[in-house]
Amino acid sequence: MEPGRREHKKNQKIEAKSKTQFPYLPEEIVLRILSKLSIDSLLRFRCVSKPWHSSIHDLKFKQQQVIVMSKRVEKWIIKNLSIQLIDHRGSIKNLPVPKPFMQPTKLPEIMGSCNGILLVRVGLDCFLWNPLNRCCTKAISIERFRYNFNGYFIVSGLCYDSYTDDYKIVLWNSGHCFVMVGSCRNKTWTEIPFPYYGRKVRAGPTIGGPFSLVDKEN
Amino acid sequence: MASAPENEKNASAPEKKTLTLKSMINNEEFVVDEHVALQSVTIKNMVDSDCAGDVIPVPTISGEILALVIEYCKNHANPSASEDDLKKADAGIVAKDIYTLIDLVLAANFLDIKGLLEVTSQKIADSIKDLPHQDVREIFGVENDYTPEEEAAVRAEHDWAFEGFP
Repeated sequence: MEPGRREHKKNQKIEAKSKTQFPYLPEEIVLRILSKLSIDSLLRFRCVSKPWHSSIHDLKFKQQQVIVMSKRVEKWIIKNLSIQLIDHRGSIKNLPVPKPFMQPTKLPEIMGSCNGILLVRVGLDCFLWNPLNRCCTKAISIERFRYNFNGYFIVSGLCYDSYTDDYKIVLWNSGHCFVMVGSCRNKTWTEIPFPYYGRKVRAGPTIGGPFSLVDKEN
Repeated sequence: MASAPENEKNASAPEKKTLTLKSMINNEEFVVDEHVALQSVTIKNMVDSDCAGDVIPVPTISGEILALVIEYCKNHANPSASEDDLKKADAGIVAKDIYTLIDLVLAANFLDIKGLLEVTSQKIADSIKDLPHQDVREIFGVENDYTPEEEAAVRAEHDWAFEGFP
């Protein structure tokens, strides 16, 4: 009974397919459709074919998808550390935790995101992590700010500079009148004067590439 | 039903321009108010450059699909339609099987109707998101160029995403 039904269903499908004038969709339409899928569907559809795999690899994350890193972890139980993906429908999925984040005494912290890539700080190291293809690279060290981090209010963000093909990290804390801009490509930090003070500075949203610090008073 | 008031309109207001769209697949013809048809950028370009005769031939789109496209254009040409009405009407138009949706998305792409392209792509994405990748491959007519070992390796990278799938 069961195989017969399946066979019937298959025939129906093939019949329906012959109605289609073009059996193949142009790549631009496929990309348009793929860009509307959530990460778990995309990860499965990489198995469709090699061209689909590379299209999905190049896809940017959907704007609505938010990555949340759970911090409810006791220091000695690493396996309780979880990274969850919440899509725009509100469903939650656990993501595998990259090895560099698994440090018994240091909790990872998301410091910013851009183009679907997350800036994650673990101790004094900053990593760029793409949860979609699991790429995780050490971007830059914040060793030189070791003492600046205590007791200050830190604002941070990540942005992409298409001119130099570089991801840049912007850090500011309430104790200083400059922001630090770190280049992930050159592993260097640059000081830029920042004429605002106070705790009302927040990281603005990143749209595409540019990063902005928004002063609530101005 | 739809053609009767249209004829009336043509009789009482002959200055209202209409265009005839003809499916080259089954030769079905549709008489449409010009402002409705002009939502297609492709048709607008033809009309603007005086390339359009009395009958505009539409290749590779069947009458069945063309009727859906025209229904969409009519709804969106109606200035008194509220956003809510349009959303409901759009949902009705794309409540079709996946193969009809693929024909429709190709038609929207060819005729360059941005809104229709958007709602149809979204509907296709919603229809395939919970399907096994093997079904998606079949629906889109994609050739599997993986060896079984390669496919297994790609799958193993994110095994968790395949939980509950064949």
